[in-house]
Amino acid sequence: MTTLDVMTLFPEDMLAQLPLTFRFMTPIESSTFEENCTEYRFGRSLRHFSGQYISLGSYKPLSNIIYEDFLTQEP
Amino acid sequence: MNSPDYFLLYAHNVPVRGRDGSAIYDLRGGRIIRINNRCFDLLATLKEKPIDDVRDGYSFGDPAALDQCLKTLLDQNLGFITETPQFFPELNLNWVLPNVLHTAIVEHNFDHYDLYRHVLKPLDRLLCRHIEFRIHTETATADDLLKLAHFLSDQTVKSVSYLIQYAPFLTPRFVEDLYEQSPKTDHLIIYSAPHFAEIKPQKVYFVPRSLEKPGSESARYVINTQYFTEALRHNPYYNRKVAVDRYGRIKNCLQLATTYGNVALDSLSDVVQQPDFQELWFSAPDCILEVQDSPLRYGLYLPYALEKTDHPGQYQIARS
Repeated sequence: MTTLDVMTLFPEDMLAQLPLTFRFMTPIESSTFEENCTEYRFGRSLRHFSGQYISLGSYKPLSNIIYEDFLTQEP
Repeated sequence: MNSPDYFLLYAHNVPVRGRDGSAIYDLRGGRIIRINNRCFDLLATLKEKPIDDVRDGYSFGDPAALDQCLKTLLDQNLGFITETPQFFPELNLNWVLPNVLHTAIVEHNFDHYDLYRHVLKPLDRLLCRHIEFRIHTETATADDLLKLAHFLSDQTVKSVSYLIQYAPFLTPRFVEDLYEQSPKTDHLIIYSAPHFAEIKPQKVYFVPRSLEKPGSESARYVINTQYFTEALRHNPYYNRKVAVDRYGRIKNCLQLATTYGNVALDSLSDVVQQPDFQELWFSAPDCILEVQDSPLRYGLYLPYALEKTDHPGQYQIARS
């Protein structure tokens, strides 16, 4: 888990009405936060102007080689 | 006065009728439940009429028959009873993909054609989502692989899988670094390796197996909403797919002999948009002789060569 900083999201007038802990919020990079269980990795896409372009596998096998079978069976 | 009760399947449970039996596809749970055709007809009737109205017509002298059937469906958590069926619309079964290509299979040995100019840049313009590389390493170097991974890191592709022939420069350390440095890498498999090694579970492996014997011939099923809706009108194995073999020949699948041009001579973008290239994209399971009567046809994975029959629009699995 990667903690990025210690900060707060709230302005001073709101913080006056909130518990003390709201002054010490810690953003966490989501891909490193194991309780999210996402295990997503992020790349880039120039066409999408994105530096946080999520890497996502296919909903179906890509070819006649099914990786599960290929990895588990005897040669 | 109470409103009448209706029985509905949850929207993600879709019944499909076959010739000798039917099935309910649990598209959320990824499972198929076999039912008989009488039960399929009953479910269709229950969508339109209250349970009490259906009971007399269904029971055929056995008043408990309908209740027993409903109890089975409820016990398996396939449906529910409601007084307001109009509030539970059916699943939208349209399949839409804005990308011209979903999958590209690219066989390459860094020799016969310019991978970047002839293949990867056109694939990016076609918004290809997933690429599987089959890389032969007779003439490849570590720098070739690093350059390829670096190039893909800025492209539109969502995930990349590599099947790379073993070579001495492919050490476990190099392969792990390659995976970590390229976040779009989904699987990285070194085949024809001296021994089996799992570098990263489910993702990075060395395997002794060669590509000539890729896996089992047993039937495989893919149960999810996208696959199911795609299979209603397309062949999910061929749809939005292009394959380029090591000599640059453009095909629907590497296993097929038919070619539609060569990437070094023809524009890949033009070829994949030709109607004759796209013909197999529409060879849906309903059009394939061997599976069209099966209730499992929309989940069956069909990586087979197909040939046309005498009936227009109908195919059969080619006997090799």
